[in-house]
Amino acid sequence: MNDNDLEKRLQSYYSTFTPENSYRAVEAVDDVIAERRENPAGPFAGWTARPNLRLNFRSGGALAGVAVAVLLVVALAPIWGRTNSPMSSASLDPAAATVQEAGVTRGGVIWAVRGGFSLGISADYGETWTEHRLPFPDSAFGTTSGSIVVVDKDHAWYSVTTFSGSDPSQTTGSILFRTSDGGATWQQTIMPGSGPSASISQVRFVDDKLGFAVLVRGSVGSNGDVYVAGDTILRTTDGGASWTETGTTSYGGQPSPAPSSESVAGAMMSSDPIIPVDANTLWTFCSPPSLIQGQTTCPLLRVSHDSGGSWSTVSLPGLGDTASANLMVLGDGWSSPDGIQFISSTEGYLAVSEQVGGMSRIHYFRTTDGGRSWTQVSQTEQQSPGAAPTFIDATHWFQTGMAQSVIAISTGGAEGTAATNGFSATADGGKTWRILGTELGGVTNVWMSDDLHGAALTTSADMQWLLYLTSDGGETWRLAQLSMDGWQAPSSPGITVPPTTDSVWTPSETATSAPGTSAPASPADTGPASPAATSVPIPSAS
Amino acid sequence: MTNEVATMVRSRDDEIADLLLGRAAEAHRLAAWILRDPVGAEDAVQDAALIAWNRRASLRDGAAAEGWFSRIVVNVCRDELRRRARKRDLPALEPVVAAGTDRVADRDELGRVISKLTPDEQIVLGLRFGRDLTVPQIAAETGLPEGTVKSRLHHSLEHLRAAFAAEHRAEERTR
Repeated sequence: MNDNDLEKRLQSYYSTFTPENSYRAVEAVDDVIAERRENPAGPFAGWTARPNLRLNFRSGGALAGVAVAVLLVVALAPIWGRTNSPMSSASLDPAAATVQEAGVTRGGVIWAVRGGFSLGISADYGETWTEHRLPFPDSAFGTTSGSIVVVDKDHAWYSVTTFSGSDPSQTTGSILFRTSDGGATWQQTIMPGSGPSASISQVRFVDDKLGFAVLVRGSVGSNGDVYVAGDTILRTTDGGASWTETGTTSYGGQPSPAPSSESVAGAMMSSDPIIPVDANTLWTFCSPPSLIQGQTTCPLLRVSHDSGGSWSTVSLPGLGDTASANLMVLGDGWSSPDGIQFISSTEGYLAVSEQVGGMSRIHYFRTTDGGRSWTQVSQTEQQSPGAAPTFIDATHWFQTGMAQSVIAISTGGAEGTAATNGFSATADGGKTWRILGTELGGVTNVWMSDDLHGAALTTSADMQWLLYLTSDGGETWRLAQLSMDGWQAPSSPGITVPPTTDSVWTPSETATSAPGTSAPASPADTGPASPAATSVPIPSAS
Repeated sequence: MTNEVATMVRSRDDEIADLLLGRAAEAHRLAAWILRDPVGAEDAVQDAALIAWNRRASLRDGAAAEGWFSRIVVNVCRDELRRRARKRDLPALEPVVAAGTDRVADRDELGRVISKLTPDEQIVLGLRFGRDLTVPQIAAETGLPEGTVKSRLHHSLEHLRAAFAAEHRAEERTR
């Protein structure tokens, strides 16, 4: 089912719940007002919750015994047009810029996932793209949405968790696909230890060989609650073919995050994020899932020098070492930019949001000794915390989210600018900020590989996510053009994978595109022939 | 209380009453889409009206009143969805379509999968596909950041897409 089919189905489905009339609802409101006016000091004065009892001042009592309403299914014609950006021209097709995920590497490689089935990679700042279908494990009944990691134009990883039946919460194991030719061919590894109660939650690669993954153990209860029992950090030094257990993100005997106390049916099990710097050094911070899932405090920032075997809590000057709902490292823990960014083995940056009197005070920190000491280098105060900034160097930072609020205070006297869209950029280490990209609409992510080149993901009014590119530090933007004419992402993957744990998958469709060109996929582009299709054994719980 | 103050209070109460009554039908549709239950939505509107009335003193900006009441409705629906998630034995109060059509199975499957989403994800889906709001409008209606709305919508659709992809493959295998 493609995106449009699903959306049409949802629109049709929800239209069946449109009430035929609302006279009983109006009557109920009228009853409330009448009762409150007649008895302002009565038992419901100031009462704002309804634990168990039902109010009984509805005149008609029409609900009694009425459990079924008969409505006609109205198949609404879907209104799903596209909104052209002010910058899109006739030669640029918004459909070719419509993506689901994207990112930019430090080396300037831009990647994007379209339709959930194809990965596009550009090594020339979006001038040309190579697009390949993503692999799919044949034996799996289905997979949860995959996670992509790209380190250069050739090396990428795609992790999926498989499930049986039509219930995505009943997982069966996790598979990591890896490519060293830009997605033309993929090799798969079943992640060791994964199964019905353990699945991969994050994959991070430092280069084409060194990487880390986190396997979260837990279960989804029959009532939909997620219980996280702990997690395991795995390391690979051969690009993902083999993995060795090295530690856990858990601390103080507590899984991270702790078992959920609230129903989070459909939620994914997750852990605090890991940010690897080298083969031994990992950083992590208390992420929103930790606090959402029942914890009130957790370590603000931690570092491990033995690949997660043990952790040390790091204190930040002026802020201490404990995170709470009011003090957190910026970064949601599962999407880029990372909450902690090292631009060399010694130089790194992070930003912390502190809630002060209804405002978000953002503290920007820098280290030049590999994280042994951190120094606050800037501070702003704004209405919302925004996302983790992209730190290019000591002076050039880019941040989404904060542009939607007024930047009130900065160490150097920031430009006080109110904007509803766009993102913020500074070229002087946070002393002054500019609001850029307002013409793009709602910018949800911005990634920069240097102070000039980068990409932005925007949400248009009609819920399409469009990828824009810049080559001048965000001053001007152009629509990315991933697809060539005639290329369509398949509606169903229909891809098979051989039954070994380290096998090669070759796609049958490949496309290369450049703006304004049209060249249908050629069989010659597809690489070696696909191996025989058989099923992949999915590991069971141990 | 002097007569003058009493008159002012009465006038403001009249304004709130007019607002709540004027918005009741729209609030009912909003709750119906979120709860996927037009009958249960009537209760949600009643609860929201009570909360709104009791909190009317906190409403200082008349221009923001409509959004204020909508957010209360959304919050009441969130609580109701949480209650339903805990009490799976509640009978489904979903409308019935003509039996024997593919739509029955289609609706059942959609309803089952959507029910497994978090209350907030169900809210975002209802606002997007029931009320036909854009992400910025959903953000305004719920008070959530746009990025949060987007990620919840994205996550919801991914779940649905994965469930239906699996269903599609199962159908193909049984042929």
